[in-house]
Amino acid sequence: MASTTETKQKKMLILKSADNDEFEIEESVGVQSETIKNLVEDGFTFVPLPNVYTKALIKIIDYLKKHANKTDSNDEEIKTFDKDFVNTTFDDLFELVSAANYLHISCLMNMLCQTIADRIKDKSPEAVRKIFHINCDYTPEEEAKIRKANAQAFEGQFDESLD
Amino acid sequence: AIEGRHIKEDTCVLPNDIIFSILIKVYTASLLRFKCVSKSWNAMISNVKFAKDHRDQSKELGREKLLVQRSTGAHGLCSYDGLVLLKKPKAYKKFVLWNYHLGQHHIRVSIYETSRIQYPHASRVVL
Repeated sequence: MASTTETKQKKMLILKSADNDEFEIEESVGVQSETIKNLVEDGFTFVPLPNVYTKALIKIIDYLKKHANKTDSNDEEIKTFDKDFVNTTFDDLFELVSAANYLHISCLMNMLCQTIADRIKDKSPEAVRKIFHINCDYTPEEEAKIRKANAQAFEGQFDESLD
Repeated sequence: AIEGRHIKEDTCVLPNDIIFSILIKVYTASLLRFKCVSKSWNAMISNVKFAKDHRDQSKELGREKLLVQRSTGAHGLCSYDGLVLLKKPKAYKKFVLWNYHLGQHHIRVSIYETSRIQYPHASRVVL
């Protein structure tokens, strides 16, 4: 990523969350987000983020700061940070993945989607519905038909837990 | 916990494009099960574009190896790009072509004597 902070004083950006909290960060940290980068390139230093709430934004700024300082020597430290970062509830992960998607932070998006995928892979369809807050719109007959057509995928026991 | 203040009751919290990004990272066996989560999940998983992206993703993650259930009694002859050619030991000229991403299969009848056919990539099928 091209560095635009070669001048003595670091260029700063202000990010404003959906709940109107403002955060000052270094431009070099912020531009890891494609959305922010595009705005910076258009000359903006004040970035309103109407789709990102404060609690998610705080976590994402932490992530960006950590990953902006990536070197060969702190690889393990970043891995530990990432592991802690995704160790949270599904609802938190959904807030974060929505924010990462809006901000276009591809490495974070990738990590969050992989985490969610890994955590749902052994779940039953009923548990998945509850986790994603989805209403089943099948009639019992329609659902039975799909189960029958994919019978092999329904052999065995599945994880019913919601965490 | 982050407050889900814009999470409405009884409606999926995530837009379809994000669900898509998550589901292409899920193994095929789980995906087939998730077809009965809802009609929109079924439509997404059954979509051709999804199958292609899922296949590309699986390749990237090195998930090329397959498991074909022994109970079917069929031999996996070869596989390529998510397509598997299967044959029952006693079937003379009949082959089954199985697309494991879509969970669909077709029966094909060979016009050649089957013992003379060479099968490429046979090592990629794990029985």
